[in-house]
Amino acid sequence: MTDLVSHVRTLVAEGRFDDAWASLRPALRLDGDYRWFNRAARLLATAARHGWTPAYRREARLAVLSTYETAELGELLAVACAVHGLRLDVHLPPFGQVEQQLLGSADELVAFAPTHVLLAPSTHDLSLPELVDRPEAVVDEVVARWTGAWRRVLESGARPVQHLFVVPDSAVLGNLALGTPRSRSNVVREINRRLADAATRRHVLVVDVDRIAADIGKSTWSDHRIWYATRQPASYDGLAATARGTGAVLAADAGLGCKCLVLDLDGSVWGGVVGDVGWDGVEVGPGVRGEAFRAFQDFLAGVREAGVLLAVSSKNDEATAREPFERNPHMRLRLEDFSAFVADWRPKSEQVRDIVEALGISPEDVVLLDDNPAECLEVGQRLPGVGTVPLTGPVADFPRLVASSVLLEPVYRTDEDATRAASYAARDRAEVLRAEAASLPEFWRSLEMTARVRPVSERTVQRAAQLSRRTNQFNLTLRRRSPAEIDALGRDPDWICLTLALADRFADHGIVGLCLAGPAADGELPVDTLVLSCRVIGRTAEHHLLAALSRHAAERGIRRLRGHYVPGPRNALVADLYDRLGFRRDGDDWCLDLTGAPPIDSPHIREQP
Amino acid sequence: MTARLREILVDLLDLDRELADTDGRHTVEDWNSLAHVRIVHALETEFAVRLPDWVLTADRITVAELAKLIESA
Repeated sequence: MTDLVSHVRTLVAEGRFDDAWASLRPALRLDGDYRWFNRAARLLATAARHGWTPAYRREARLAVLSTYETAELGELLAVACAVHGLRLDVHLPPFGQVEQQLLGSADELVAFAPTHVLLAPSTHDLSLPELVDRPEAVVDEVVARWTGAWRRVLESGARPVQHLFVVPDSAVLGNLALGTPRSRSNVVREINRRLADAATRRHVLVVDVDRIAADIGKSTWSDHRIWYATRQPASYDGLAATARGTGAVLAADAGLGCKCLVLDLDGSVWGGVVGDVGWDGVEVGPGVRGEAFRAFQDFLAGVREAGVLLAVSSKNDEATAREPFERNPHMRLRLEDFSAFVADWRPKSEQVRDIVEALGISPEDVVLLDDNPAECLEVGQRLPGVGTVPLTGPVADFPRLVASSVLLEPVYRTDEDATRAASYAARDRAEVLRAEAASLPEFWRSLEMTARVRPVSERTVQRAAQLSRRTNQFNLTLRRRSPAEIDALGRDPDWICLTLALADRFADHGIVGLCLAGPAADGELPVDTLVLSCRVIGRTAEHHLLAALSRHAAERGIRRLRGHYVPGPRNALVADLYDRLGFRRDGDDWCLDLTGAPPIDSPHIREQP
Repeated sequence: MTARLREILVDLLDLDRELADTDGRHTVEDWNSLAHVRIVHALETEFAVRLPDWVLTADRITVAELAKLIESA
C-alpha cells in the first residue's frame, strides 16, 4: 500500500501523470483507503497545474452546503468521481450557511450554476440528549428543514443530494435504546427513514452515510478528536469512505454505473475446474465451499435483478462450460441469466472485448470478476477502461468483496431494470432471425413489433432520465437530463416529451426511446433530445418515434421540426439520422416541414392503442 | 525518524524545499489548521503513536518539536 503511494509520488515528480493515474485508479476503484485518495487528490491538483486531466466521460458541478467543514471532503469527492470518469467541479461555500445560501442572494452559488447540490448535515447538529423530549416534533422539524432545502435546490434547476445522518451509539441506554422510541438513536433512525422516503418521491439522491459508517465500522468512521479540532465529523478514513459512496451515487446518476459484470467460471462461480471434474463434480450446493459458491450465485442473481447484466468469460470449451448450467441441479444461475456467454481459449481481454461489442456498451461499463489475478491484470492492461476485481480470499467473502469493490449503485430502479437481461436475451434471438431473413424488411416484419408512444408521466420519468443519462450511441445531442428536469419539461406546454416502449415476438423491451422537443417558438419545435437504447437499434423504431412527434407537433400547430446533431466519441451512427428521416439540411441543423408530406414512418411497427 | 518526518511534511505540504528544524506553522504558508490536523494524522499513522490532543490545535509548533513529541510518545 505504501509502495503504491511512493510509486505514484515518484511518477508525479517525473511528470508522468498518465502512468500515475493508471497505477492509482484501479486501487481507488477497489478500496476507500484515505492515503490513496489523498495521494490522488494531490496528483489531480498537480497534474491540472501542468494541463493534464484524466479522460473524463461526463461532467457535473457540485455545490456542497454543509453544517461542518468540508474542505477535505470536497477534494476527496472530486477524486471519487474521477475514478468513474466523472469530472466534478466543486463549490464549497463556508460551512453552516445552508439556509443563507439557498434563501439569500448567494451570488457565488448562482454564478457557479451547480448541476447538483450536496446537503451534508452532521448528527452533531441535532444536539440530541440520550432521551429526546417530543421526539415526533424533533423528527418533523429536522425533516422539514432538509426537505425545504430540497425545494429550493429543485427550484434552482439543480438536483439535491442528501447525506443522511450517522445513527449515534447509545452508550448510556445500551441495548435498551432500540426498544425505546425516545432514544437518540431511534430518533435519528426515524429522521433517516422519513428523509429517504420523501427523497424517492422528489427525485432527490440519497447517500446513506450511516450505512457507509457501519460498513467500515462506526468507531473507524468517526473521530471525536478531529471533530473538536476541525469540525469534520468523520475520521480521514471515514471521509474517504463517505466521498467514495457519494461519488458512486453521482457517477451512477450521470449514467456511469457498472452495467455488466463479466464472470469467470472455474473458481469464481463454482469450485474446481469443470474440464477436469465434469458438470456434476464442480463445487456448488452441498458442502462448506459448495454452499458458499451457491450463496455467491444468489448474490449475482440479485445483482441481475437490479438491472446489471451478467456475462461469462471463461477459458474452457464452450460445451463443457455450459454443462453445469444445463445439468447441475444445485446451480442457482442458469444460461438464460447471461446476456453474453464466451468460452474459448483466447486471452480474456479478447473475450471481454467481444462481450462489450455484443452488448453495445463501453469497456468502462464493465467489471470482470475472476479468481485469477493474472487474468485481471491482463484485462486491465489491454482494456484499461474495464474494471477488474480479483476474487481472492475465502469464497464466503465474495459477495461482500464484490459489493464493496464495484459499488453497485442503482440510484433509482425502473421496471426496465428488472427486464433488461431478458430483453438482451431476446435481442440475441432476434439477431438469429436477422441472419436467417432474406432482407431487412422481411426481418422487421417477422419481429411483429408493436410500440407505445406516450407522453412522459410521473410513472415513466425515472426511466426517461435513465435513458437520457446512460445512452451514448443512439443519442443525437448528448444532453443529459435529470428526472426533475424531464418532469418539468413534461409539464411545460411549449414542450413535447415522449417515451417509446417496444415489444416484439420475443420480449417486451419496455421503454427504450425518448424524445424531448421544445421550446416551441414561431411555429418551430427544436428536438432537444432523441435517444434509443442500443437493444433496439436497427429496427426502425426511430422512424416510429419521430412520426409520433410530428403528429403531436402538427396537432399543436407546429409547422416545422428542427433537429441538431452533436458529435461525440460514440454516436457517429446517428450522424446522418435526420437525412435518413427525410429532414432537409439547414445550416448546421436539419429541418422537417410538417405542412408538406407526412414524415417517414415505420411500416413494420404497429402502434398499440 | 527525523528524516522521515521531514519527508512526510514536505510531501503533505507540497513543498519544493527542505524544512529546517525551526520551520513550522509560522514559516510555511500552506501549513494551515486543516493541513496541520492532516499532518498529525499522517504522523500518528506512520510512527504508530498518539500525540497529545493539544498538538492538534497548536498554532505554533516546529519540526524539531514535532520530532521530540513523536520520540517521547
